[in-house]
Amino acid sequence: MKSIRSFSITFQAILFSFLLLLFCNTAPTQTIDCSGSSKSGNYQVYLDDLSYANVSLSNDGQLQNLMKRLSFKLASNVHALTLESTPIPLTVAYCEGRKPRGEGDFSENLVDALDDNNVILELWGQLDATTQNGSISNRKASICYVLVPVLLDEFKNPHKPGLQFALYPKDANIQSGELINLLEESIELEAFVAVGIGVNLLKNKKYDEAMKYLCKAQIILRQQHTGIAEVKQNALNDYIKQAVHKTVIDARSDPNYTGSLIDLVDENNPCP
Amino acid sequence: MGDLEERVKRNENDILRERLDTLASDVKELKTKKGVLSAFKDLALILTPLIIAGIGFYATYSIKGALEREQLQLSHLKEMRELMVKLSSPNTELSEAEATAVLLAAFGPPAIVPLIHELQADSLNRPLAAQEGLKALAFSNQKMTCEKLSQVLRSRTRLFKWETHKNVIELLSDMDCTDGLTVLKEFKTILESPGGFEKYSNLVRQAPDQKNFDKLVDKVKTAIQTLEK
Repeated sequence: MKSIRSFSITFQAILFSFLLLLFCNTAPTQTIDCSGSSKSGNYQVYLDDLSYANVSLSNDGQLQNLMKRLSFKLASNVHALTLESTPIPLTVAYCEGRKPRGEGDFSENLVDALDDNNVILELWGQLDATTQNGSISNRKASICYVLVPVLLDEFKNPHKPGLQFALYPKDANIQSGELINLLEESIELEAFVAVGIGVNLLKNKKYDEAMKYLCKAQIILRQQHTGIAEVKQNALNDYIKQAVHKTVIDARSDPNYTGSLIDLVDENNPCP
Repeated sequence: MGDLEERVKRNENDILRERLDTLASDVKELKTKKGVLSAFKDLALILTPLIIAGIGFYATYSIKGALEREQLQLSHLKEMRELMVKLSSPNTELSEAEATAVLLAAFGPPAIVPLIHELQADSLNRPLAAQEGLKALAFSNQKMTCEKLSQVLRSRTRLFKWETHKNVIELLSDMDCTDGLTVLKEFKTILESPGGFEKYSNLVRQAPDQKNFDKLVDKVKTAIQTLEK
């Protein structure tokens, strides 16, 4: 039973890696500099361009419309997060013309450089559809996320919890017009930002605040209706669990720390 | 009396013969000396134009060579300038920027300073590309590149950014700059001394946060370990 389950997890990992490659690797790469990036020391979310998986799709009116709405929706979703009070302000960097392909474009050096610039998340999207006899159907969107601090810490992890993607619609019967509504319901973006902030705070020895953000991410990702694949979500959950545990251990061993984590009873489950 | 006169005459004759012999040998000696002198004179006559021609040729050649070198450097600078413009363009893709930096490295020592300067750029791609260029220089001008990189860490003038220090530390390790060990150890001493964070923050243009400071400490430790192996 155990081996079947392990095979199933491996199969899922391969399948989703394949899908990730398929949806995040088809467009021509363009990892140009992010023009909207700043050196203010704020936490940054890089919002890259959306693109079509295939150039011929760019003439499809419905996809064009979807592209505009999706760009706006993503920008407003990210912007909404910046309005929340964070220990260090969160800003959105609009990276015009920047279109990474996927995992291959993110070398360890590049991820390290992004981390140096306090970039906690980079995301971009692609629109795809099936073309048959000149008619376009089965329109779908995929959003790729790079959780910079997570990818840097877990660069050698085969499940790559720092590299996530969400495919819409999850159900093939859903019409493309409903994609935006699905994105509206998506809660993973909030979780990814929370993880990025939490890990950065932990590395800056701000343990109580780090715990708050890591727990927030854990609670969001425990819910079932995120748009990300189960195997990737589990890998990220494991990473967050370890980060939460490390926060408690580091806080207790830090002679300058005097907060509430010292008296915590259950150090393995500190989140509510 | 007759005998005496005869003896005197004979003596006079002997004296005269002796003088004549002396004179003859002097003339012979003089003639030999004159021959050497005239030979020198003749040689000088032949050699002088040759020497002048040689000096002239050398002067022309060296000046021409210097001028050609200047012209070559100028044309290199023009070509390097074009590459630098491409490297610093915000629309240059990362892989293209890296290829440009490696091409820049082909110009040898004149490319070291511009590439180090690129490490300082407020950009994501440019410092990454410059690192590739400097690594390429390790093949042709390792000693000089290592020396220039060490100078960056020696500087105490707030000229450089902490990110530049981080990249330089990694490069010294990647390029096997064993001469850089001393400066790396000095740098580590500053970082790990009591109040190291504040001390270091006064040495750079913009202070890092705790996370990035810890990253810098880790990098310098790893570099020292690698170079000491």
